[in-house]
Amino acid sequence: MKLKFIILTIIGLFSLSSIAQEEISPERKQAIDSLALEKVKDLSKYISIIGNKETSFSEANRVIERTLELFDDNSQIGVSSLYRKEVKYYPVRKYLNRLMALNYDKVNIKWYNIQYISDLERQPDGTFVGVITIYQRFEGMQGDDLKYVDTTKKDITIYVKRKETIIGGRTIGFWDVILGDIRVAETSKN
Amino acid sequence: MKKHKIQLKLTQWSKLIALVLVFTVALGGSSCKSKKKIAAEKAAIELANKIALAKASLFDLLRDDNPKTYEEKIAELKRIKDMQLRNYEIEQLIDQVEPMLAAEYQELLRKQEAERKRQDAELIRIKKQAELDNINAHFISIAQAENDLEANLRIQQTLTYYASPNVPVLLIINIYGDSQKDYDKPTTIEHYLNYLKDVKTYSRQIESIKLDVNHKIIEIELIKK
Repeated sequence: MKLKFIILTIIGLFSLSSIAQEEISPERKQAIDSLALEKVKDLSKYISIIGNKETSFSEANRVIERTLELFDDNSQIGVSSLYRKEVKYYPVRKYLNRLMALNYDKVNIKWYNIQYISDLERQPDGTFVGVITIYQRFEGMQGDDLKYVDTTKKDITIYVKRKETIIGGRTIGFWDVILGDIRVAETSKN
Repeated sequence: MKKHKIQLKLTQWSKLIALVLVFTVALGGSSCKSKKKIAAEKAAIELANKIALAKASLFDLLRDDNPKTYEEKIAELKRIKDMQLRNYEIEQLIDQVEPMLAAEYQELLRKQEAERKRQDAELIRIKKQAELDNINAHFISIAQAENDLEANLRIQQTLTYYASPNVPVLLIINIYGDSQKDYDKPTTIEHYLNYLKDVKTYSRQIESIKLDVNHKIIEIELIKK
């Protein structure tokens, strides 16, 4: 019984290794890169919607749930301020709830220059890991006054895993893009 | 004596008249005979011409590059057959033309059937394309909605075309190798429609759809344009 278990384990490890080492053509890799970049662009739109004071509470909550689906359960998002040195890190849900409840009359959040600073590289377990950097311009207004504005450079760790699911009786192989921590790299006035 | 002379003269005149009559009849008979001969010769020439023309027509019908339509060829053959020329060569040629036209008719039927099938397929394709355009139009209308209220209304309208809000949406990110597909994480139609509302853009096209017996969509596959 013990021997059988060892043999099955070895076979399992070999098959896992063969899946992990499956050759990915440059064309497929490019599609995966684009997919991950698209997820970050989606996130930027979600953040903008959640932060927007014109978004209804129910809509914001719905978008929060969709945003959470993009992240790994343990991911954290860094928050910086021009008024303090340290960066605070919050679990994603908490960050999004705080974003929704920011004490401004109007909030504008815009992400730009979204690009890879570390290309997706394949790890021994087959997962692709990379880092995408973004610049975020945040504007908080009270009435017509711009109360707070900063630009933050943020680095987002990206994980892309090959997974399978069964739909309509057939196996569908898909690339699951999971966002890790969002770390603050620098914060400036403009 | 005088009476005898007069009688003799009358006899001579009668003989002369009879001779003239015989000569006239003989001459007239000869002329009639000649006319019949001419008419017969003329008829023979006409027949020969008809046969020659019919042969030429039949040879024409046997030509592969004959530009006439099938109906015109059939009419031409009928016209020749109706002449009943009773000529061996003509009959031989007709025997060649008939199976050739029969084969042409079969080919015509085959082409008509193929054309009918092509038209049917084209109609189905147009109908299917219209259906896909309609489905795509729903996606575009949600992405382009002026506000959440309008987008939500369009989402509810769009969902009526699907068997349920949980209908799977497969998003192809790449097709590689032997038509193998790489997908994004599958989602549901309800989530996808809300996604379009959030990102306000739709840049895909329908790769495939599956319908149930009620003509409701039960699976949809989208690919980047």
